[in-house]
Amino acid sequence: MHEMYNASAAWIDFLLQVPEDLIENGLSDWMSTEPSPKALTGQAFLWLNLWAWSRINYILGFVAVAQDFESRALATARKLDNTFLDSETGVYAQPGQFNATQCAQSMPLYYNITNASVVSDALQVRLAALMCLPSPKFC
Amino acid sequence: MTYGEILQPNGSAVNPLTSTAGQIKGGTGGPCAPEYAFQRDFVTFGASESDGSATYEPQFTWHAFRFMQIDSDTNAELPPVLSASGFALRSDVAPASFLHIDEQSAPLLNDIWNMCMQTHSANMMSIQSDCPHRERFGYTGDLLATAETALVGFDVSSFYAKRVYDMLDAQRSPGGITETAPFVGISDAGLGSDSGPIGWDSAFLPLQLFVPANVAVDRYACAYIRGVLTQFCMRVPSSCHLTAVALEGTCSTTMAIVV
Repeated sequence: MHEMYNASAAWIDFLLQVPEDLIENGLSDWMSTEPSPKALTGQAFLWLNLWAWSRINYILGFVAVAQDFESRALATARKLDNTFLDSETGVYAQPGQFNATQCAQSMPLYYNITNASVVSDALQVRLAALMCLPSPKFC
Repeated sequence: MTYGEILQPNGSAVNPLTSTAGQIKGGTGGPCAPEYAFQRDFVTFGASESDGSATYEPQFTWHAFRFMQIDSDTNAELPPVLSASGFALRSDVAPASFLHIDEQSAPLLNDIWNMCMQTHSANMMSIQSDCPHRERFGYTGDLLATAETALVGFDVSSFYAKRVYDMLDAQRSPGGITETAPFVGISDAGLGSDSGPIGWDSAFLPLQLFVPANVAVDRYACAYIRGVLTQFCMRVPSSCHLTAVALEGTCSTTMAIVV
């Protein structure tokens, strides 16, 4: 991590300059059986970079940078939830784009960035879709 | 020798179009590239052994295939093939865990485990490739998506350290990470300046966190295997008499508790 520090910093500086529409177009040519939640996954990948950069800086002892990017990561996570998550139902969706797809439900849960008060509902939606169980919220 | 994944519909010959390197078909490979980049070896035998036999083993390439077809390009009858052997190759990464469940209890689970580990193994030859026969490129997104699975099965600490260096070598100015490392010119839906899409570029930093994998292997393998078995037992309780579970590696304590 120390050896890669300058290259990693250059990557983060580059990433922070990238227009949001490119951030939210990040699934390239992967083919999905469901509508691809590109905007959601793009924001989640952005969070992953900010979070990882924070962790690396904590490990290397650069606490001020680590705390700064920890805050940025948290802000990105909250923005993702505010944009895509229905806090009443736990459904991740974007009208006309995707609605509670496996990827949309799984990625925020996997990275543990879903607002804690909604995790249980979001997980239930995910499990219902996965197991095709009758659910008042899904299927 | 021609290699492929399937046979022609009538079963007469290998269909080499199923495994063209780099997806180069019909002249799409640019200057100097073959029109079709079949996996195919041409061999001219010179002086033979004293008994008239000859031996060939590729020294500068490897192939991925289910079927191999041997032809002669002369009108002469093809000499008999006395023997043919395949050797499985991968970078030198040690297995980190092994799972075997009593066949009567959960044969499907064993098959899934073996399939996942064999697929990973087939795609670790210097780089972690997307497929070992067709594109054979070091896609960084495929690596990110499967890194934690790799940590379950193999000690990839050295291998992933090398992949971080690959990404460093391929990094574009002013800082973008590429869709493939080594960079082969692909930047589909990228972030600009030859960089890849964010789902691919995002491997660079997390992979650095995975490199101290001697710790990570323990944590991921134990958690993953425990998760699989727990879910399996919840789903198929009638089959969950795991009486003959054997696990070698780092998770024996965890497994004993689970069992």
